[in-house]
Amino acid sequence: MTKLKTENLHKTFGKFEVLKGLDLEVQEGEVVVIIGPSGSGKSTYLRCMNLLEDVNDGKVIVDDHDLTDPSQNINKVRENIGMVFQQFNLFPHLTVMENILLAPKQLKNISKSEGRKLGMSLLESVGMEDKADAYPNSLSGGQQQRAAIARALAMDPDILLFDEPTSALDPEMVGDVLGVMQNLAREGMTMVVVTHEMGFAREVADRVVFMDDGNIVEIGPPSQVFKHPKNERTKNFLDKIL
Amino acid sequence: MKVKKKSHILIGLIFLLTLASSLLFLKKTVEAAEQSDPYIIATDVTFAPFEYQNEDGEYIGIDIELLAAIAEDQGFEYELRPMNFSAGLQALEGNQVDGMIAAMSITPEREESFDFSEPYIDAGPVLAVHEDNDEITSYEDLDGKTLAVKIGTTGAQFADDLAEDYDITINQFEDSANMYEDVAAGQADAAVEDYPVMAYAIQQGLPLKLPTESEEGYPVGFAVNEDQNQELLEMFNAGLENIQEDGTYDEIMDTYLVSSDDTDEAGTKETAAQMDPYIIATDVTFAPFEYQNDDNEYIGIDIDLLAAIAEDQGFAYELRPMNFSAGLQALETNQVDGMIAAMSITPEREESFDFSEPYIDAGPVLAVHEDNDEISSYEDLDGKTLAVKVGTTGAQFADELAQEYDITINQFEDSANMYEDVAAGQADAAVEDYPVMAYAIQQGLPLKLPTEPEEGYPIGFAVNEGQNQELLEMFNAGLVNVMEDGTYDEIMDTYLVSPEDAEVAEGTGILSLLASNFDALMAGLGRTLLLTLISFGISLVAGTIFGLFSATKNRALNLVANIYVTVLRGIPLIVLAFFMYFSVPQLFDIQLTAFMAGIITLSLNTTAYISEQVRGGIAAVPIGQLEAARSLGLPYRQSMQKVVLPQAIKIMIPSLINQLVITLKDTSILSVIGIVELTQSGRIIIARSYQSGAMWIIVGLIYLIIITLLTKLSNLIERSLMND
Ligand SMILES: Nc1ncnc2c1ncn2[C@@H]1O[C@H](COP(=O)(O)OP(=O)(O)O)[C@@H](O)[C@H]1O
Ligand SMILES: [Mg+2]
Repeated sequence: MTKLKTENLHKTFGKFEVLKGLDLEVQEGEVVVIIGPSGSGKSTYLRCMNLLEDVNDGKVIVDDHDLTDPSQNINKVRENIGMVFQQFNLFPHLTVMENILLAPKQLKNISKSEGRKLGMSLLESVGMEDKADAYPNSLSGGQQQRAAIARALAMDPDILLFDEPTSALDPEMVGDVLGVMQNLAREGMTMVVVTHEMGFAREVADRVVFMDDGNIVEIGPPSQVFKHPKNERTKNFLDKIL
Repeated sequence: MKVKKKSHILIGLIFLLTLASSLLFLKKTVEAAEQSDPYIIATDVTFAPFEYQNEDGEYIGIDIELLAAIAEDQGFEYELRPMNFSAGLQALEGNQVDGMIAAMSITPEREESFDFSEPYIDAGPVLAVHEDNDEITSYEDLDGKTLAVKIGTTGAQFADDLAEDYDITINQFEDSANMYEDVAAGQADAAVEDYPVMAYAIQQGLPLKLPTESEEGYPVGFAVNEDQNQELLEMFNAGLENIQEDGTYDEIMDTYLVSSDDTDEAGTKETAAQMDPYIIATDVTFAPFEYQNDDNEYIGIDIDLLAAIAEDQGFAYELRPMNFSAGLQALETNQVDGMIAAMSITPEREESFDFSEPYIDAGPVLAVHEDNDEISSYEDLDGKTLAVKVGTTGAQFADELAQEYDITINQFEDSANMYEDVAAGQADAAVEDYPVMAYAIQQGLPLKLPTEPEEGYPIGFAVNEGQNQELLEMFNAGLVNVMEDGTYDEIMDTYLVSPEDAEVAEGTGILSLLASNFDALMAGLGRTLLLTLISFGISLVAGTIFGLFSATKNRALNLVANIYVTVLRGIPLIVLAFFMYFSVPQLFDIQLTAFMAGIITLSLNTTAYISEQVRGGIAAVPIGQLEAARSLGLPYRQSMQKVVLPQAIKIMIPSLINQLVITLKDTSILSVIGIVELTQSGRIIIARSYQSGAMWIIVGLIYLIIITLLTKLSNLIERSLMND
């Protein structure tokens, strides 16, 4: 079943066309990894999927809801799409627990004890139960990103979007975060991941998308894209980073 | 040698010839002026509504038209010669002009040099109310009302007198325009001002009217030099009578002045029964003549003098302090037997009352800094600067001095500033009525009197005409005795610094000044803090709203915020205050107290600045914060409220503290609309104590202490917030 779909997606900043008509279908439980050179439009594409960026043309369809339809309640849809950022974007004035429970408390009216229980179980799933009452600034990068993932899960979404979740981390922290993501994939979470971690892509991804210059150049299972790239540009890119 | 001597003689001869011929020529022209047919009449250059130029440059005004009508009636020719007032007086005295008509008050000194016509107008103070006000038709109706006055005028004094009788709030202003506007805008219920000036202002379109007749004041007349041009004076008087009869006079007055509503005089005459102790009226407060000391006992020159004379003459009396004009009425209706209240012996008063020998003179006197040993006579003023109070006899005297010597004149609206100009060394000397000046010095002003006072209005004790003559005789006899036995000098020494021994009585220090005015200063500080906190609270809320407006993606809201900030930051606070207090009530027909107007002014202004700080604070929160919140499904408002604003406020705290300090300091500007906050409290204390040097240090220190404390407190709050 198709969980998330983009049709002929166009995005321009001023006169500059960043996304040039992108089509993609992500199935329920599927993990899609987007790779490509810097500036090719990966982040913008991801941000269009929950409409953090307005799209100029084309459609974004999630569970049969067209997000580009102005009558669509975008906030309701976003509850169902968690997002994890390169810079974590934890709220510095709130504790880890408060970060996680902000949205459930505001949007779902859950009780204090329910909230605490939910928060603790999410923190356990990312291995952070001992940091519930810490402020983000006192945590390491890896801990912050795992807390951010717990926060993204707080509204119990069906889809998670990751924009280079490990790029800002010290190398020794990368493994923990990728481990958490791998667990999520195993549990059947639908995920779109922009990353340069080719190991992760190879092991976890169901399909790999290679983007260049605002276009999807190549798409296929990791074994095919990595071992037998059809396109010259894909080959060049892989040669450079592997 | 010989040649040289000859040439000397030649030059001397030529010089003598030139001198003689020019003197002859001068004599001829003077004679010609005297004999020539049209009378030369001096007038002032500009003094509306009496004489001023219209748009075509022609002279018009009450004096001009009155003279024209009288000349036509009497069939004499004249030529108008506008010159400045004191030059006119000199020209009249030197027979260079034949007469003078220039809103000239008929004062006793002038009567010594000139012959005056019958008075053609009176310049006493009059009440003015808004044209729509039908509530106030007598002084009694002022009970519970607010009166606007100009500081230091006879009108202000009259208002004070009224305030003794009725429950009246007084709004004080530095200039007439603001005073008028206070009434026009409905902030005050009435204003008090000299009748011709007020009536002319109304004629000029001010939406006020005069509900009562004007009070008695200085009569204004036409003058010729003493014993000169008597036929002109007679013609003027005859003509004046004719034009008053044929309605021309009323026409002229109607052209320039708005008349009072007709009011009936309530004339209830009661004859006070003769009692053993004489009942003596005195003024309630007029330092140094009569005022209450810290124990609420009456002291002062009048009080002490009366006591000394009564003791000397062995008569019993009872003092009855009442306001000055009430005292005059009481004396006229025999409700009191005598009156001692710094009463000038004026010709009009002499018609109603019998006066004692004068016991002091209120002529102007020169004052210099106590360290100034350079100026000991008027001649020493050459090349110097004189401080005067606008519109006083002192100012007139200074003008006369300036005709003789090269003197620069600094003009001030109030006495305190004038004194301080000298104390601070800005001016070399000041001119002021002798008793007032001498008392101010006694109170600690670092000035001294290098010369004797000029002759001015003598001051005397009064009984009703033909009544209590034995009391008057006793007063005169007693006055001679106390003058002889030294009691009189003792009394004067107590209250006045004499020109001879110009020594400051007592250096009043900052601490004692602070102690004696502590309550007034704290009340002012309280109002300053109240204004600050209320305005800042309002501005925090409103500024946040406008700041959010400019932070959204909504263009219309951006524009609203942008226009608000541009307009409010572009208007000086003082202008905004005047606008709120004077314009808004007129434009929107609402009532605003000064305090309300002050709060609104300060809030509007502070909101603009806080709005900019909020906008900056929001911009300083990384965009990822808003995106993270939105990606969780939180709507824009909740994202701002829960995520962005709490962080923006932390960023803004230092600039908000700064703004709080600015707002607190800006409250001092609100003194212009009459709010008695800390600065205005200082000003009022200075007007009473003449100690501006020490007072501004005190006021400045209070601000400094409060602001330092406030900053410390804010920093504590900031730190505790940051630690969260
Ligand atoms: N808000 C923006 N305004 C203008 N240009 C942008 C903006 N965001 C991204 N871009 C441009 O769009 C292009 C694609 O950016 P991005 O999607 O971040 O690329 P990637 O994530 O693949 O490195 C880049 O050239 C970038 O400069
Ligand atoms: Mg990117």
